[in-house]
Parts: sequence; C-alpha cells; structure tokens
Amino acid sequence: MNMVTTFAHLSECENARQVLDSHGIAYEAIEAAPQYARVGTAALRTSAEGQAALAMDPGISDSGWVDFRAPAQPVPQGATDEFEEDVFGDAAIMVLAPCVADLSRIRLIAHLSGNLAEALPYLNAEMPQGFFNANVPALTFMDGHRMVVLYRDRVTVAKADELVDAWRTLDSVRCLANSVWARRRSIEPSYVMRRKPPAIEIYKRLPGTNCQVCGERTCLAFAMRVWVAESTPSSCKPVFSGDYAHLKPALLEICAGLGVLPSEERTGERA
Amino acid sequence: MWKTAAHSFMVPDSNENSVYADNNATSPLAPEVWEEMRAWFGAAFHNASALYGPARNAARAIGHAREQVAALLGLKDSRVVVFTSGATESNNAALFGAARGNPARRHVLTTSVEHPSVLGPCAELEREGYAVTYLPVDSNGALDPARLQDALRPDTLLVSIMHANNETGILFPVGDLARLVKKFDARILTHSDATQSVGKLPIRFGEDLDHVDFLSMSAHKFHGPKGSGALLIREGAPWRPFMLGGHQEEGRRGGTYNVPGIAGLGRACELASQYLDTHEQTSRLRDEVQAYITGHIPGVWVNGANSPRLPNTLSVSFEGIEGEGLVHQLSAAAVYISTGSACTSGSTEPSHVLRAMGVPEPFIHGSVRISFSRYTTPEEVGRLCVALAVVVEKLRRLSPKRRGVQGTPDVLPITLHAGSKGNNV
Repeated sequence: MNMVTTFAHLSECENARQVLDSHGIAYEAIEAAPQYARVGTAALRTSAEGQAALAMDPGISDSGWVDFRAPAQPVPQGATDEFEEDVFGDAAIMVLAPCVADLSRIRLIAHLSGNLAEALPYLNAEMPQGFFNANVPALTFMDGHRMVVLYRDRVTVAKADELVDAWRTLDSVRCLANSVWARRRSIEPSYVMRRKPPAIEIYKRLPGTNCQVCGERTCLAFAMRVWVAESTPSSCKPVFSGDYAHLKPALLEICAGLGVLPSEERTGERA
Repeated sequence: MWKTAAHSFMVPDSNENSVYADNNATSPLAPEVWEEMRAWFGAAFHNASALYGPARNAARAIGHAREQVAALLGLKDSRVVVFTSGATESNNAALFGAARGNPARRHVLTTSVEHPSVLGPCAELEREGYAVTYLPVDSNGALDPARLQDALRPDTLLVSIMHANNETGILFPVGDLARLVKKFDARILTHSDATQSVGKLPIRFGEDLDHVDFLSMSAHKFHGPKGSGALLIREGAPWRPFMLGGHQEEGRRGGTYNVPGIAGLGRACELASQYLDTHEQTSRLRDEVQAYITGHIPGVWVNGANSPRLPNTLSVSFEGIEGEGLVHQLSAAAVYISTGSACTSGSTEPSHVLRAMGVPEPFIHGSVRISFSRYTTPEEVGRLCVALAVVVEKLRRLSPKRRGVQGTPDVLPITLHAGSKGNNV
C-alpha cells in the first residue's frame, strides 16, 4: 500500500471505495475531517493493484496519485475554524501529483467555492514577502518550503511533504484569507506588483563555475534551491568571500524579494 | 531477457484502443525507419571513421542519410548538414557557435515563446555579458516585424526565431523575417529552430528560407529515432564548432558517428517526403476536432485559430477546469494528450507561451495540446472527441467553482469508451 490518491468530491471517493471493496483490494482511508474537512474529502492509500483497478474503471475520477508518505502530524481532532464571512468557501482538490523538481514532495491544484478576488489586495498588503500580480490576479508566497499561489477561485500548493501536510497548508490559507477579510477595514489594500524573479535570473548572477562549495552539483541547481527558499545566497562562498565578490550586490538585489535573506544580508553590502 | 526490476517499466502499452495525440512531444518510430536502423545495431556495428571495409559501408550510409536530409529540405549541397544528438544540441551549437564566431558582436534577438533549448543558451549568453532582446507576440501568437526591425542593433550577432511553436503550432514567417534582418545588415546571422515543422510541412532551406543561416531539426518529431538530429549551417557562415573532439563532420561536430540514429534520420526524411500529401489529411482531422469541440463543448478557446498553424496541432483552453486534470482523466480512458508545457520547478504557473498570447485567466489553466501524425486515424479522432466531451463535463461538475460555464448540459448523450462514429466528428 504505497500509493495514495484523493478526490474532488466525496461521491468520487465513495465510488472508489466500492470499486476496491468489490475487487477485494486492501486500502486505508485517511480522513481530512474533522479539522481539514473544508479543504479535503478523504485520501485512499492502496497498492499498485488498487491504483490499476481504479484506473480501469471509467466511472472513477481520482485527482491523481503520489507515493505514500507517513504524515508527520495526524489530522487534528478539533473542529474547523469558522468565519462569519467566508470568502474562501470549500476547497476541492482537482489535481494531485508529484513535484516535478522534487519527486518526494507533492503539489496540488484546488478549486474554491468562494471567491478571493476582492480579498487578494488585502492579503497582498498583509504579506509583503509575497509576490503579487494584479493583472491575473495572483498572490504567490512561501509557507516554509511550500509554495502557495492564490488566484480568484483556485489555489495551488507545491512542495508539500505529503497530503496531510497539504491539507494543513490549504486550511491555514483558508483561515488566513478569512481572517484578513474580517479585518479588512483596518487594512489599506495594496495593488503593488511584486514579481518573483525567475530562477534563471539568480543563476545569471552566480559565478557559473560549478565549484560545488555550496553542496550542489551545479550553479543552476543552487539557483533553483535559492529560488524555492531551500538555500540562501550566502552559501555561494565565491561570491560572499571569494573571487566573485563583484557579483554580490546584483545577487542580493535579485534575491531581496525571495524571503530567503537573513536580515543583515537584506540591508545590502556592508563591506 | 530482462531480469531486473526495470522489466515492469518495459511492458508496452497493450491497449490497442489507445489514442496517441501527443506527437509534438515525440512520435512513434516508423516501421521502415526501425528496419533501416536494425542492421547498424547488429553485425554492422563498426566505427564509420575507420578504414576497413565494413566501416566504409557505415560511412556510405551516413553519406546516403545526408543526401536524404538534403532532398527533404531542398538543399543543393548536402554538406551543409551536420548531424547532432537532436534539436537541443543543434540549438546550443547554433547560438554558442555563432557567438564564438563573431566575438565583436554582443547582442542576440529572439522571441519570448522559444523552446527552452533556445531560451537556456540565451540566458547563459546574458550571464556572459551579452544583451538579449526577447520579442513579444500578440494575441494571435504573431510577431510584429516592425518591432523586430526596431530591435536590431549595429552589434546584433544573431536573430533566432522558431519556425513553428511547439505548444500552439503557430508558424512564424521566418523567411520574410530573415530577409528583413539581412536587409538591415547582411552580416547578422539568422537561426531558426524548425524542430516542430521539419517533416510536417514542406520546407526549402535554400528557397523559402533563403536568408536563414542555421536551421535546427530533430528526427523523433517525425517518426525517426530519439537522440538524432541535425543542424544546417549555411556555407561560409562565420561559426565555431560547439562539440569539440574528433574530425567527424569535417571538424564541425566531434564524436563517433551515431550510425543507426543517422541512418534512421535519413530514412525518416525520405518517408516524410513521400508522405507530404498526408499533411492535408492530418490538417482535416485537426479541423474536425476543432469543429467538434467548439460545437459541442461550451466555454472553449482555440489558441491561434486565426493564425497559420502546423497541420497537426490544436491548442485549446477549456474554461473552469485544469488542463492537468483533463490529461490525467483522459489517460484513464487511454487517450494521450499534453498540457503543452511541463510546469517548471514545482510551480504550477501556466505556459509562458499562452501567457505571452494573453489567453484569459478563466481559460488559461485549462489548456491542452492535441497533436496528430500521419498515423492518426479518423476512428481515433472520433474516440478522442467523445472522451474529451465527457471528461470536460465531468471535471466541471466536480469543481465547486460558483461561476459555472454557461450552457454546460448536465449529461451529454454520449458515453466514454464509445466506438467511433464518422458523423460524430
């Protein structure tokens, strides 16, 4: 039982359980309820055989499959947090897949019954470390190493550890959006556009020698690590204390918005 | 024969009812190409650069393949063909080779919708201090020649513009654009990544594209083998080799000749010439799918519908669903299509190509690419249409989004896995 899937709707999950029962295939249901009931149905953990049985059945629409990983934390027993005005609504996970860059982590796309369009400028004001594109509109921010993007009526989460971790992320986004919305009269909405620099822009400001001092095999790999907030620019010793010091101001500038710089680095070059 | 755990991954897709419509990603090897290649994997394994008899046969096979490539592309002299490991190497060789051949010039012009194997080298050149201009496209995916003209500089080294876009199939008038560039300054080099159009459209390197200096192509996009391609280098174009090693390819590309791959590329080119008239049939099938989708499924946006396109490609966006969800559900019905671009670095940002074209927000996340080949049958197209309609409707029903697409019927009068009906499409 090393595979796990989830569903956009409870009915699909029930159908899938019936199919597995009828084939006599073992599975374990992992419930999002009680705490995460607003952002997930249930997940089914089963074998490759179970996955094949569901894939063969044209009546079943699962959201996708990832390798099972034991959750670091169980789903909390408490009831869901509720809000007087609910701009987020319920989330349905439409796509579940392994991360492209890191197959041990997962990503998902959820659709919302609510609408965040009016709340996004308030969320942008409250999250200066985020990246906001008012044209879409979309707000991108990091939750630890997880990358979250909020759209009008959809949310994407990338690099979550496993499904319970992803539910927790989604539910914290739900609570954040609703609590910011509840406080909106005391917040000046912000339409300031902030753009996350592409990883290639970080790469362009590295020595390009693939010296591996940072622990990565190539400068490009290191740029990707910095981009997803898993490393800091100062791990590049040739730039910070070596022959490539001339690249330092440009590197710090491009990384300023990534939320990866310790405070003393963010102020710029001190030397 | 296979005794390792890898065996389980080597079982071919046994579902004979599967529909493969992702030919812009890669295409099935033509049986004739495989026949051509087999011999060079077996007893005729020799190094084409060696001096004994069997090796000379391999060298002759390479010469023959060079003529086959030349014949497909209308080249008077097959020596402009340099065999490579595929279009990624060809694009790298064109850009870096041109840069090293003209060290005084420090500016590169390209488009914002190029393949990563052009954008990657451009970013690397930027890192080395080159200026790179990325020209935008309009909502039809077209490039404004006036913007190209305005962006040219006295120190422009190279203009690289793809012939056909991999996601939308939209064609750029590369011949006209290259002429414009040469008129500005004949010493500016011109490159076109023709990976998606060679073998799918009649192309004459020396005629339609008579001002193009470098052209990249890849065998596996038109029923040849993976790992085999070519870069066409116009005689006399200032250029330095990218892959340095032995004296193969007259010193233009080092490395032992990939005899099976080169022979396969040559045969694939010959077949493409023979089957050039099937493009009309492929284009008819594509138009039928487009008509079915726009006629039967509400909330549809066809990308590049009003632009000159590859005959085999349909890029379409469905309002309110996820392209990736659609690909996943169709896969369960043994229908294989693509979202068009792999999402990068764990992000789930939509395609840079469709973003550049300004596809509206409710549609862009529901974008997929359908790409046929000369092996695609009307029967397969019928099954694809039915499956698409059913899955799109189901995904919309499962989504909790409030602003449902107007006019989506609750149940479509068709079922998944239904047989083909000619009048369905």
